[in-house]
Amino acid sequence: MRGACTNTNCTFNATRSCVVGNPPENCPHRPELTDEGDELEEDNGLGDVDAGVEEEATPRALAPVSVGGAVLTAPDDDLPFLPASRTLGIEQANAMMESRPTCMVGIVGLAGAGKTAALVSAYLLLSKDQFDGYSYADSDTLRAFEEITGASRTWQKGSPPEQITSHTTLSNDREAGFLHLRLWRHADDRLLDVLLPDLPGEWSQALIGRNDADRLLFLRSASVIWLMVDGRQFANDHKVPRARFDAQVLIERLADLLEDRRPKIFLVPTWQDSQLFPQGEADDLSAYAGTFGFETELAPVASFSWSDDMEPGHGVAKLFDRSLCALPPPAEFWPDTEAEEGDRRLQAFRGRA
Amino acid sequence: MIDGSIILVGGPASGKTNYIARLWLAFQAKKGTLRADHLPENVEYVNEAVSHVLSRKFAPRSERNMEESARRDFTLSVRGDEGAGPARNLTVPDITGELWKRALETYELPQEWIDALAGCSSAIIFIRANSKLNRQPMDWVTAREVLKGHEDDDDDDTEEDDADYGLDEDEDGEQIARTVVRPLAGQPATTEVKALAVSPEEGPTEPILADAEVHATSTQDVGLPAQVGFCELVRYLTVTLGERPDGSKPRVAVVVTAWDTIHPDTRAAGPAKYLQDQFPMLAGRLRVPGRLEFGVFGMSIVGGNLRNAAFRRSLKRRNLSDLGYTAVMRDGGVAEDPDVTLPLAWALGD
Repeated sequence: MRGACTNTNCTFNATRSCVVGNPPENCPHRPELTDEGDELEEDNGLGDVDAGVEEEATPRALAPVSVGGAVLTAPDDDLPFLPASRTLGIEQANAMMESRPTCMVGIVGLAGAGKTAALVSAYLLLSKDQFDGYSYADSDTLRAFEEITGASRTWQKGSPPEQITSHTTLSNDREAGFLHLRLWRHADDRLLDVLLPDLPGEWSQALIGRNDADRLLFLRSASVIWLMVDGRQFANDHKVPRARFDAQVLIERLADLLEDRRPKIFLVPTWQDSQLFPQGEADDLSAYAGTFGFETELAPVASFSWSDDMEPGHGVAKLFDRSLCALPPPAEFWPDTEAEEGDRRLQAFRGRA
Repeated sequence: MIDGSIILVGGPASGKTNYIARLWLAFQAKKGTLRADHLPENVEYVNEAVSHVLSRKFAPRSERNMEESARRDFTLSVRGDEGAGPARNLTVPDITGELWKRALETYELPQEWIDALAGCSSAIIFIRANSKLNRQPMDWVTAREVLKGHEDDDDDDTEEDDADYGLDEDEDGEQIARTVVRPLAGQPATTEVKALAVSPEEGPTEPILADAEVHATSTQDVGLPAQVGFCELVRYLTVTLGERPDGSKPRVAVVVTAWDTIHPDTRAAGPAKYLQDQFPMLAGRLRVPGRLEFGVFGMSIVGGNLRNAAFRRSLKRRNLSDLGYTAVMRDGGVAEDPDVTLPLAWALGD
């Protein structure tokens, strides 16, 4: 993989076409990005990037510490920042999962499947207190939700983010990362933390196309997986073969990626307001996933609705509810056990007492 | 003597200055839970606000350049328990609403204010009821419009019209000239396919809003919905406020100002219910205190709207420190307590 073009006379960074006519992947003006560099950046955003690597408009551009000297002049008004509530990186997500029970939802689906719409829909339901059975309690990524809801940040056309990076300050591009919600469940008065990845559909496309799985390895920590598909395509005689094929390959790729883990997969067809998802297709996909050992559930949603017969956000709260209920019950804290010969002393003592 | 600071948090025109003015009248009249032993020395800023209220007008929006270096904090010595408690020095740092607004827009806050926040273990958040500056969350129609443009960006699924494909073409897409019989049978099929391909797109292309309205809504995205702003302010306080001297949680009083402008039926349900109805996300956040302790109050500094001529006339020659009240929940109902120092006293730990 190569980074941004360093030839100042070339417009490749803006137009994706090279003025010299070099093939983009072999152009000597585009420095190669190494995997090591990416991993370091994922750690702290200040990885020891190869000297001479310069990228525009990304935080990485501030990173070439080995060269020495500031590349950009400091802004005149360098006020201290309060911590931003934008998307979380892998480390922050890990820290949260270590500190408290957190449901990580793995969301996969092609571009246009409605991943963003479902997240926005959930956020709007919460902001109006119309989220059935739940209320908003907190979010560490409130501003990220605002950004995707207002579409004030969008994936950069043609070059979506390549990695999940920790994102702490304002910038003009949308970064891949995790969204966080803390929900109050009315039924049992519990607070539940949910992590939802906000990723470009290209990542799923790359997983299907070339098994590009490294950046999706976090899915191994997912409690459940939402496989989002555009429900309209499954109802369209001409598009259904391709849609079916993509969904099946995605399931197979997931099975490889997840190794021996088999979280429940929710098959989430979007656009229910426009087309009901054919039950036959759902059964087929479910059977296909079953051959890889996955348990699946169908959870159709209409994130928004063009139809008067269906309220916007239909099925979204239910999808969350079923995902949260899919969690295994918490282990009993220090259960009573029968003492046996050869047990450790403390357990033996407890057993007799 | 114990030292304490309380930070007043709220955007422009949220009622901070008017509250300070009314508080001043209470201190001067020696009424309320919290009493001031003597008036502090430098009270110019407060007096300015007080003089507006005394002439039966709300203090105007504090239009001040936030780069202005002269801070107008004030410090006074107060005692709780109607003057019987221990004396303590209370400092009220003067952060303008503009500065809070900017902190919300850019996350930036000058270091001196971050230090001031760390030195405080109490805060009051002001939320003005019925303010036109309180942006509502995005509605479904607007969100759908915004997202539609957004999804088109993401959508790399080329909507190729395959109705033209497969009609006995050769490999270059040229029609093979032997379809003399086709039109009759082929025509309906072709239109049917076209209809199918187009129908999902028909919905989105329907103009739901007039163009001007769509434009207006899409350019509205300056600033956050009010409840998101309040939640963010709570988050800022969560990360910055210091512990109380006895190690207990920092206290944050949430004060709904202009309480008297709310419909009496709504007022009867109390300020917490009002927040639940108007700003559900904030109400949800307050339900889960975490590092902070929250108290919710309604506040009417003079019991009515001074911009209402009849009400204003009715106040002629009245002593304004006799007017106004704090709405608090007591014994399961809403009480209108004439003591306007209550939120401050609670936040300070009394």
